[in-house]
Amino acid sequence: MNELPVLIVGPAGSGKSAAIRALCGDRLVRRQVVLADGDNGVAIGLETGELEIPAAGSLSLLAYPADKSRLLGRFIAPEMHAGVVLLIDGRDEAAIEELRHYLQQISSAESLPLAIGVTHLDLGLRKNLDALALQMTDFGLHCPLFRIDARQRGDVGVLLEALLLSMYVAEADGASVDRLTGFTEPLSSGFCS
Amino acid sequence: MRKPVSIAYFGVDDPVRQLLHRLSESVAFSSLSLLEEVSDTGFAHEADCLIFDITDPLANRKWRLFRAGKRISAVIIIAQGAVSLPPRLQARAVVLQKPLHPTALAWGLRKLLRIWAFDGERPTESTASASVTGGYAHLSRLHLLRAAEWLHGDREKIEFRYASMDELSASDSDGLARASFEPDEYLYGYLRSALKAHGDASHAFVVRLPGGFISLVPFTGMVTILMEDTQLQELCAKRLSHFESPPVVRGTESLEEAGEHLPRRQASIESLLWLAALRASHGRFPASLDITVPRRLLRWPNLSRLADAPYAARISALWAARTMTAFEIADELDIHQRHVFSFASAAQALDLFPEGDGEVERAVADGRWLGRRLFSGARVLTHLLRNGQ
Repeated sequence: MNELPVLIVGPAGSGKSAAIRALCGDRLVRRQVVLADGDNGVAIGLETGELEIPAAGSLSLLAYPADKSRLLGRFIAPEMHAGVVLLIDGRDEAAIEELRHYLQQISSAESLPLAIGVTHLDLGLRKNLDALALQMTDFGLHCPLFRIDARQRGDVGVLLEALLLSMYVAEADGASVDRLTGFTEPLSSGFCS
Repeated sequence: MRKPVSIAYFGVDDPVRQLLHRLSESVAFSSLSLLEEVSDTGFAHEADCLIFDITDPLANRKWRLFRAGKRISAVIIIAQGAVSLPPRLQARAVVLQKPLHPTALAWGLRKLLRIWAFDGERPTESTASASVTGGYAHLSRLHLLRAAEWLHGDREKIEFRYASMDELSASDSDGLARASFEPDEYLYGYLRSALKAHGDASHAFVVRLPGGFISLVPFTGMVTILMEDTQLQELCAKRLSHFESPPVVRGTESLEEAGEHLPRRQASIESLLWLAALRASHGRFPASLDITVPRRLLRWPNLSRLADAPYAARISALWAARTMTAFEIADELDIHQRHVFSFASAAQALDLFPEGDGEVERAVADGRWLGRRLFSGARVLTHLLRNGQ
């Protein structure tokens, strides 16, 4: 079965577990991964859900715990994860700081497609969403940023749809290779079949 | 369990060979089996894929030996400088540049596995499965599209009426003129002008329309619509000149005229402009938007809270990542141009395109520094450091 592991990260209460439940139902499985941290190992508890997609494979959603966010940069890996969903609590006065914090944490895996969901935002708090969108533009981010209710299957589905389509475009671009190798010249000569 | 993907290699230097073996033993590439190096005289008949260094003096000879009588699923070419690939190899090859970073090789292997998986599954759907114990592989672009479509699910779709028109070319000036419209002749153009004139005010204002009112609060980005939804949608699609009475901007006190009999609902200004522009467009594009110029979206529209326009997510994904013309977008996605023109109308209504003629965007994209990135961690950090964070 084709497998598509998507990591869901964000501060406590941002709706990570709710988003998985919205798509996968209540059958969440708790998994533990041990990360080396100095001489000791640190247990990372992940909540996971599986979603079977007909004729496409399965989507694995892995909620990374907020209290281990300082280790996120070491946990996340382009070889292991297909993309990242970052959920930010829009009610939080420190939402932009949280956005910065998580972007820093996942910058080690910058080739991974990213989608951002702003949760807990009722319509009257649009200004906060605008501020986040402006920050993203300043950062040079062109990823999807949607206002979502993490409990709503449709909202989470649209965010993940956008993430998958970003992967689709990135895959076509071969952006990762260009970035990693600094290869910018067009293919022009040298190899003969 | 499916047989592991066998990969042969030749001409690679020692560090790359060691790295290949290390990666092939890792959990992330458990579905990969690395065969021994192809010698000068022999080659791995049973290999599915090939990795070779094109700077190896014997590269061309070994390549010819390897491919003789075989169909190559996928190949990684390690190169130093430009490489010209024959057309039949272009979709099957991954070119990695020296000096080779371990992460680049891992990425190349993942890509190789995906090309192989897509190639191998074509005959039947049932062969698409693969044993994956860690990491992931074997995910083709086709699967991504299928999964995205499935996730889109049964969102309520808005039925749009499209003007009947043929596909256009960028050089067909008459056709382009016929396929364009003036936003100021429609309600969304009127609302945008009203917002520009009153948008800085901290207080609300009201637009009186035939059959109802729209109360706009620029400060919160919200509107209260006091009219039947079907009537509003009809007005959005009509020219202002066909209205029974022209729209008028009033103060909020005029809402008292509305009384209690009109239905009320709240929405965001963004969602109103998006829907109104789609309705006005009829598959055409705004005359003020030169669609022959390559552009790139400043950001994705907030699709979770906007009317579900056909192909909006696919168009957004492409147009947020690349600088392209509307024609190129339609070609790339293999969809009718009218869907792209409608999307462009709505995107322009939300100021999602940069101002100007798009040449600056093109220059940035041509530099291929920012243009193809979905996420730039380095730039984020630079920004944070510059701001003393």
